[in-house]
Amino acid sequence: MVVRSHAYCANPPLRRPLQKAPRQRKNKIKTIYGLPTRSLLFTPLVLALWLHTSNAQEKTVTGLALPPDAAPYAEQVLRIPCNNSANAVTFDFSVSVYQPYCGSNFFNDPLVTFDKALNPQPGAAESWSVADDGVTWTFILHQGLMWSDGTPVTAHDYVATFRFSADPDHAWDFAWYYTFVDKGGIKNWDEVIAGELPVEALGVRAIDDRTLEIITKGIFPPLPKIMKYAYALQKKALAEHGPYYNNEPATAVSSGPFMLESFDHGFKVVFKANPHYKGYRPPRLARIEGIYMSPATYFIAYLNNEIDTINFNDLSPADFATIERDPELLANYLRPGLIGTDYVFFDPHNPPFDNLDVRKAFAHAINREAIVKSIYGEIKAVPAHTMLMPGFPAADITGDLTDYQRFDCGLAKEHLAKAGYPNGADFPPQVMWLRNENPGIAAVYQAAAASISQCLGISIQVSNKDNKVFMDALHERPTKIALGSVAYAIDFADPINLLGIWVSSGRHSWRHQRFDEILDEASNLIGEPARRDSLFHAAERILVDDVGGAFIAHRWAGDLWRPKVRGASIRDPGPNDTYGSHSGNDWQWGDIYIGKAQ
Amino acid sequence: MADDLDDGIDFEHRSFWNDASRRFCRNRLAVTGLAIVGLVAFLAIFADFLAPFPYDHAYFDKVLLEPFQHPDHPLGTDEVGRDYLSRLIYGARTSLTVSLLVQAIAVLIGVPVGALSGYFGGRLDFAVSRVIDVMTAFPSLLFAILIISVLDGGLPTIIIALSITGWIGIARLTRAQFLTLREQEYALAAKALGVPSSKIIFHDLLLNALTPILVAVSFGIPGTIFAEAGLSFIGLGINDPLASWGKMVGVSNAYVRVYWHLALFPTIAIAMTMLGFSFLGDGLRDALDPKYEE
Amino acid sequence: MLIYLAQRLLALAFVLLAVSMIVFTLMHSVPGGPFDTQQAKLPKAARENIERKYGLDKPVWQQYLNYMSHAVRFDFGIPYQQPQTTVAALIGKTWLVTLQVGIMTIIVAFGLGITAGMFAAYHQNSWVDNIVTFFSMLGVTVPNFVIAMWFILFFGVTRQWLPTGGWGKSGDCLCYDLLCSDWILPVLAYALAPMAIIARYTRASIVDVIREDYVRTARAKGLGESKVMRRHVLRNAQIPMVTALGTEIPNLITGSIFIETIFRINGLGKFFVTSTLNRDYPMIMATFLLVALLWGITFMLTDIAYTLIDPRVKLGAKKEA
Repeated sequence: MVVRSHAYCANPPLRRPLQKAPRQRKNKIKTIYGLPTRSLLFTPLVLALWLHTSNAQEKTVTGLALPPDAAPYAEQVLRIPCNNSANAVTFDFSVSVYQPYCGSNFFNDPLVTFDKALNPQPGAAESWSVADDGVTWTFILHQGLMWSDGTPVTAHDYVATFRFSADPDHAWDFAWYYTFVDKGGIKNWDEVIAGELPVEALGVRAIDDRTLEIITKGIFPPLPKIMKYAYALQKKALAEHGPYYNNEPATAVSSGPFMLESFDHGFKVVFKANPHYKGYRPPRLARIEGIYMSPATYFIAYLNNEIDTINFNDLSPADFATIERDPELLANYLRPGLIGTDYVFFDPHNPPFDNLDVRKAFAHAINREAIVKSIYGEIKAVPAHTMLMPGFPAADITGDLTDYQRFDCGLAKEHLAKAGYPNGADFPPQVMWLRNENPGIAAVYQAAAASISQCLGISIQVSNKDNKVFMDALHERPTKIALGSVAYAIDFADPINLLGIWVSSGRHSWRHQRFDEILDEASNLIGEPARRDSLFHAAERILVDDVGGAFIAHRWAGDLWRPKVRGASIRDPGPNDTYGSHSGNDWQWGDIYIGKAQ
Repeated sequence: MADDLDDGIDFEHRSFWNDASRRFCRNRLAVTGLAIVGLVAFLAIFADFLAPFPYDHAYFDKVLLEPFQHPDHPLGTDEVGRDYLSRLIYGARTSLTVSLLVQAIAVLIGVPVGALSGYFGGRLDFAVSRVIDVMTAFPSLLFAILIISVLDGGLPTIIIALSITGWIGIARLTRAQFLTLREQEYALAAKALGVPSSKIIFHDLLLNALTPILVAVSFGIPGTIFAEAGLSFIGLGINDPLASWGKMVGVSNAYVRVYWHLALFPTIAIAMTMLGFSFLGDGLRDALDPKYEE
Repeated sequence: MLIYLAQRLLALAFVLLAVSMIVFTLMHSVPGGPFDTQQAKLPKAARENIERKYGLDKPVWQQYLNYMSHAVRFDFGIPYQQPQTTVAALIGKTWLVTLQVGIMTIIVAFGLGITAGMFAAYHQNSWVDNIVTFFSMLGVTVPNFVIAMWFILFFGVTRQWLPTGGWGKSGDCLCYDLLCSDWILPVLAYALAPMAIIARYTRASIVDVIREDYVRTARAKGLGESKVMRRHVLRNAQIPMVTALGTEIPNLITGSIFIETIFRINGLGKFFVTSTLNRDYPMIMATFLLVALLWGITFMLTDIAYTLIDPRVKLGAKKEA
């Protein structure tokens, strides 16, 4: 038969329509929505199976059940950004604090941790107590804490770590800390780091495998808060492989929620959940991947779905502008609390700042509200009139310290005139020193300087100095910085931390005898929280009245989290309706998980 | 005597400089270059009269405005609320001063050093070349940190910090030119005639050696502006609120993905200035070059 | 020639010595040391301890002699920034990567730059010339970190055509595992500025030469344009070109901190800046000695190149006529 083309199709030959064969009526299967009705009998069984499988939530490697809305365990991967231009030598706090690898402090638990309200909670230590002498503390470790090589975590590990930290050969870059906390420092710390006493003389002792004894230099009730930083290295690994044993997967040992799986230096580091973990924060995540890149590209990488979180320190002003304009980004930028204070400081031993009226003039001339609103950004800061931020222990809740430094240009001019410089006449031109600030923060300090100079009619230039030059000049006595702006962020949640930098032996050259005395008395106080708070309040009054610093703003901490990252530690509200968790809050690493895709 | 030969035909008295300036004026690009440079210089000198606002006054209610968002601020405002047009105008003053002075010092030191070294050769050349070798590996950042901490920030210090190594490139270029030029026939002839070396160098050879020097200077101007910006980044540049184009570009980097105007205008300013100096330099070279074909 | 080479190598040794002295002195005169702390002063005794450990308590001249005695045996110490490795190992590892980036950049910058410059010179004052001039200006006035960021945004994120970084890590290699697509963006961003400079110098040098009488003669003789270009123009244009372009090479092979951090390349570039800012003395010394060595060799090679290009150039003393 010849196959013809279009013609055939266009004009099909007439035929009788095909007769459909009569349908045979078999037992037609009744259907409901395409499903045979009889099958509905299986419904209960199907339902039961379905419920069971969905209720059979996946478990983590430590046997923890994942929440119902969690993605399958294989998808529990968090990607964090790592700074590829930062100097880093170690994962461990006790080896170096200022040169940490990305994702540091996963490999062990500190003795003490904090909750959202910054109250100390048991960490590796299940309880602690202080003897009657006020200086001998006893920390009892949890039962059953394990290293990933199967050996138990003991108090001997903590002792070895403290001794290593104090070892003058090691030259730990955080050694100033236990000196700085003065009475809260460990006994003989200063002598040991100076090499005058052997490390065994340090006031730490393992009474038995689970009991750690710490003797402080003096009576210091907030010691548990200091122990937030008491991480442990494994004594055995430290002796065998040296302090950098955690840098290679082969020698790495972890008693923390994660272990080192692989480390491609400068490109990617992978942590996996530690199946041997027995501590207080069992991880829900299966892996954490640290991807190295330049901080300038973090936000681009986030938008490109390469990483899942960014810290506020790595977000540029343009990034914040983008976040504020995008409702979803804004909803996922979680701010756990105020973390530090920006302020202007002076050298009150030399003119013109030896004159209190000049300092008061400066303090009243800073238009904090406008600066925070337009330049800093309310997402990043709140105006400050004191050192302690709202929500911090012993902070000024009633606002009765605000007046000492409130913005009032007229009052500022009066003070300047009283000091002998009416309308700024003959006031020596000043240069305000900054410590290598990034453009966002530098803009804030420039605004403060502009606010002062515009209100008072004087000349203030701002010089963004090299980091080391600044610190060198600051610490010299007499100090070389006449006028400067800097910030201080919380190390531990006690007023002694933030107010302590203003004592005579602190980093600034302002000194006030009564201030020193009050702080001394407060730090010696045991068991009278109300009185302690009122002492700190009185000290702060002196600080703002005598204008040791002219306070500008308190900084908000914050992290951008991808919506799929969930967990009460970041998504549930904390005190004062804050969300997110402090970067030092290690409990979050046991809590966060990846939610199901929606 | 020459006039005795005239047959009544009037000769216009033509000197080399007359010819040169006429050639220059005929060259449109060169004139454009001169105009641009003139404009920038004008802005720099008369900034106090031209700028609509003081460059350092921060308006806290008008921060990061986009261009034309507010009628008073056609180029917008910066991250502290200062008018950008005014800062651009005053920036001309700082950037031009720093870059011209640094380049001038570079030429004033580099050209004679290179010329003498290239022309006389021998031991002098060897010694000078070794000094140049050492200076190229000079740690200018360290030196900048040191000198600024000793002498305090401010324009003269920055200029010193940038000049210490700025002359090296020009010295090398000049030396290379003179190595060839001294073997040219007219140079050898002049030598044979007993013309003193100094006259040969500065009269005959220097003009011929000009080209790469002018190119180097035209690149050096934006180069210096950015070097000064780089110093600002590390805490060694001129203080705020003084405006300089390089610093404005550097600071804008943290804002640029949203506030593009912070980067655009100073970049255009630097580019225009460089273009102006390039055309001017090319035009000067063309005008002064006796072999230029009209 | 051999005597000259020997002289130069000896001179290079002296140059390295001079550089080492200058850098060492400057390094120790600058305020701030490597172990200053951020938040509070280290107690005096602890500070003295650290300094004793690293030998920083001795007088500067003694530290210098100590350093040099190790350096001549190729022991350059341990970087304070990365105490687990040695300076030599660190530089070796990172410089290898930077060299790769640098060499590719040199090929691209020189190839495209010289071609563009020649074109512009031959069509002087035409639209070709103006475009080349415009782009060369753009290449120099826009900082390379800005260009790098825009490249990433455009090619890597919005268009996803090219990887956003990681030298040799994207696994996306083009030809036989040699050319990977992750080198395209960094090399282009890095090459733009040198390309611009090279194009300008090429153009200017050739324009200079094109007007010479001997070129006119050659053309009048009836020589083809390409022969004129090759035999007369290019040869004579090369001296200033070699000088200017010669200086680009050491710059390019020591790397750029911006390109390397933004494109995630683990190279040597960042150490030049971070070592100074962190006062990492061993690294500062080593990096500057390396730079001095590279420049010394470059100058030596360019000087020799002069004699090859222009036989009249003699690098010895000028003979009195």
